[in-house]
This record gives sequence, C-alpha cells and structure tokens, in this order.
Amino acid sequence: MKLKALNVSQVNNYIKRILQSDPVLTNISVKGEVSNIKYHENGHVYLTLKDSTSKLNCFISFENNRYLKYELENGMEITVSGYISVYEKYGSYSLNVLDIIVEGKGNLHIAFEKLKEKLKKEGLFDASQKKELPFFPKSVAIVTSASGAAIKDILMTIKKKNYYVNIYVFPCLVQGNYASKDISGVLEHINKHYPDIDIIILGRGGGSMEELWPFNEEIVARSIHASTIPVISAVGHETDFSISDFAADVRAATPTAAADIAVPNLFELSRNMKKVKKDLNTIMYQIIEERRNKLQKHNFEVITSLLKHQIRNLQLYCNQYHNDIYTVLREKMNHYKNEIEKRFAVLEHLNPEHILKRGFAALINKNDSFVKSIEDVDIGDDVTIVLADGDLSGRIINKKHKDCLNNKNPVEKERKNDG
Amino acid sequence: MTDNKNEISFEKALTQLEKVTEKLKEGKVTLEESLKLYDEGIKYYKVCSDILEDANQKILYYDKEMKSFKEAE
Repeated sequence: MKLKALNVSQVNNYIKRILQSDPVLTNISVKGEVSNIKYHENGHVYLTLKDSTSKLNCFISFENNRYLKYELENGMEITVSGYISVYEKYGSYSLNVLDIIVEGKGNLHIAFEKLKEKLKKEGLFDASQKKELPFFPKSVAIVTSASGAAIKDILMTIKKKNYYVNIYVFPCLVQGNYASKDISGVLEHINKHYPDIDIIILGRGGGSMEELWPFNEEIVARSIHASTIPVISAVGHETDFSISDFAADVRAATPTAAADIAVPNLFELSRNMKKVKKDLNTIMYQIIEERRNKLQKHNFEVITSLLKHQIRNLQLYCNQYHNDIYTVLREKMNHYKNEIEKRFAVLEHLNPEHILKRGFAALINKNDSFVKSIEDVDIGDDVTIVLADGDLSGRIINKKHKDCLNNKNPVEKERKNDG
Repeated sequence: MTDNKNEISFEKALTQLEKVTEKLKEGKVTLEESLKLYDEGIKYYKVCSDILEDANQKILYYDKEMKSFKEAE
C-alpha cells in the first residue's frame, strides 16, 4: 500500500509537534564544548555545542542573554539547560538555552571571578588606591535602598554613638537590572554636587547572589574607584564578598559594621578629651609647684635658717675642740701630779729624820755644823746630839781615830746587845 | 556640609591638645613656655568641647525628582 505523500511543511510541522511535546526534550540539560559562537547584532547568540562525535545547535535569545553576565568563548566547557525547538523553515532544530553553567559553576560565579581578575589586573584594588577615612567626619552619605534593613541598621548604629555627624541618605535601587546604573549614577552625583561629604557608605542587606549582583558589576566598581570621597562598601552578610568590596576604600562585613567604622564614638571621645584636659591641669600644677618649691629654697627665712644651722655646726665644732684640748691638758696635769708625788715619795724616803728614828744620831758642833769627822770637834767642846724625839747636850771627852778601834763596829755591837 | 575653613577642625584641635599635653609632660620648657602651652591646650580643648556641645545632627533624604533634601518622615 502506497502512503499518501505529505508536503515538506507538513512533515516539519509534525516533527515540531513531536519534539516539542516530548517530556525529555522540553526540559533538558546538555553538556559540551562551545564552538562556532556568533553574537548577532540583534542580541541573540548562536553557538554549536559539541563532543568528540556529535554536534548540537544552540540558541540564546536576547532576553535570556541579558542575564548572561560574561562573554562565552569557543572552547569553553559548559552545561546548558532549556528545551528543543524546531525551525520549520529550514527543517532544523536547536536547543533554546535558558541557563548556562560553566565548569560546574553558575554563570554568576564565573562572571564574578572574571571581572575580579580583570579589575585586579588594572590595579583598581591596589592598596595604594585606598583612601583613608577621616577620623571625625562631619557628614556621611548613605547610598542604599530607602526601604531596606540596611538603612535602618546604619542610622541606628550611627545615632547610638555619634550625635554630631550629618547623615545624607541617597536612596537607590539595590537589586534588579537597573540597580547598577542607578548606584553608579548616585555615586557620581554625590561626588559632583556634594564634594564636602566626608564618607560614602554604599551597601545593602543580605540576599541571594542574584539579588546582590548589582554590586558585582563593572560600572559600580568603576564609579567607586572614581569617587574622590572615600567609600565604605557593605554588601550582604559577613560571608558575602562583592566586587564593590574590593573596589571600595574599606570593606565592612555588614551595613551595621560600616556605620561603626565610619563614625567615632563621641561619648568615648568626650571622656578621653576630659582626661587629657585633666592631665593638662595636673601637669601645669606640678610645674608651678616645682617652681614654687625652688623659689622657696631661696627666700630670706630659708637662708637665715640655713645660716643659723651653719653657725650651730661651727659651734659644735668649736666645743668639740675645746673638750679635746681640756682632756689633753687634764691628762698632762695628772701626769705631772703623779710625777711629783712619785718624786716626793723618793724624797720622803731620803728624809734624815727616818734615819734618826732607826736609832742613829746627828752631832752638831759649836759652829752649828754637822760633825762628819773627828776633826770637826776638839776635846772639851760642847756639842748638841740630835735624836728623833729631841736634842741632848754633851761634851767631847775623848777622841779616837777609826784605825785605833780594833775593828770594833758599833753597829755590830748594838745588834749583839739587842739579841 | 558647609565647612568653615577659618575654623580649626575637631580632629586637628584634638591632635593639638594631645601634642601640647605631651610637650608639657616632657618638662623641657621654661615656665613662661609652659604657661603658653597650657593656655593653648585649654583653647584646643574648648574648640573640641564647643564642637561637641553645638552638635545638631541632621538626617536628610535626597529627593531625586525635587533634586533637594528633605527631612526624614
């Protein structure tokens, strides 16, 4: 049996219906290498995904391409997901791409790494590019959503510690496709019209990577870098790192932290100030006291008392000498006294009266002289015999010379009589 | 936002106050210079405390359409 012939369009239409109603082909994920990529001027992207033996045409429409944050290149290993669509006119089919994952990472991650590397190479993140934050800002600009959690946190934190700084809130979009342009515009606007603002806090509260994405866009990074006013970037939570963070002068982990970094604690500052003033007073008092003491050391009373003291010292000195001299003299006098007594004793010992007491007698002639020899008297002379207890009167009746006495010693004779 | 350039800033006054105090502490100056430094220190302290006492914090929101600031509601 011969089948009825169909025309070409009928066949392609039939194939389209089959393919586009197939449950696998309407939601499919395919991995392969990018080749033959073409960026059409109307915004669509055409590419061929291939492996070692086969090829698959792919199509990324303008709408979906807009969400692609980086450029695809030939040779990249990617996984695309989407659905198979048939182009009846040419009898061809292709994969209509809705999402792309590169080397296992989502395209946002890839875009992030690529932009980070690019700007880093340009030196946008260099430490030398970082501006210092003023210690005591007079005015702070806050660039964030007027309705988000971030603005509430920032205002609360600032007001709690600083009642001086003026706060200028510049509301802007912080998520969605138009946010990056808005942020960039506001940053430029502030720099141009309000250059006296001391610090800009740019940020938003936490969210998904897609929500935080505007802060990973080149246009924002460049506006931050171009800002002459220092920028603190505070995007999401502690763990979220954005390109803004790298481009900013200071990265704060959260909007609250940014507010804390931006302004000093006035209560603390005031306390310190008062302490310094107290120190100043104490030191000045000490300096004056020191001088006063020095001055007092040189006044009349002090000099008088000093002189008195010196005189007293000299007096003591003199007294000491006086005492010394007196002692020496006394010692000398005692010495002489002893000497005299000693001699007196010797003299006493030699006193002739002692001899008389022992029984000797002295003979005195008529001329009142001691008779020392028989020649000093003549026979018949009256003489005086002196004894210890008195005088006797006598007359010389005989004289005998010592040689004629036959050695008869009168002393010896006397001793015999005693015995 | 308007900054009177003739007036010394808080930051500078505070730095000067600390500097003057340190110099006095060193004690290498004459009595006359000490008194002068002390007066200077007190002057800087007054600048700082005046700034803090006269603080009048403003919180303003920029209105893109009006191109001007308005008070927070």
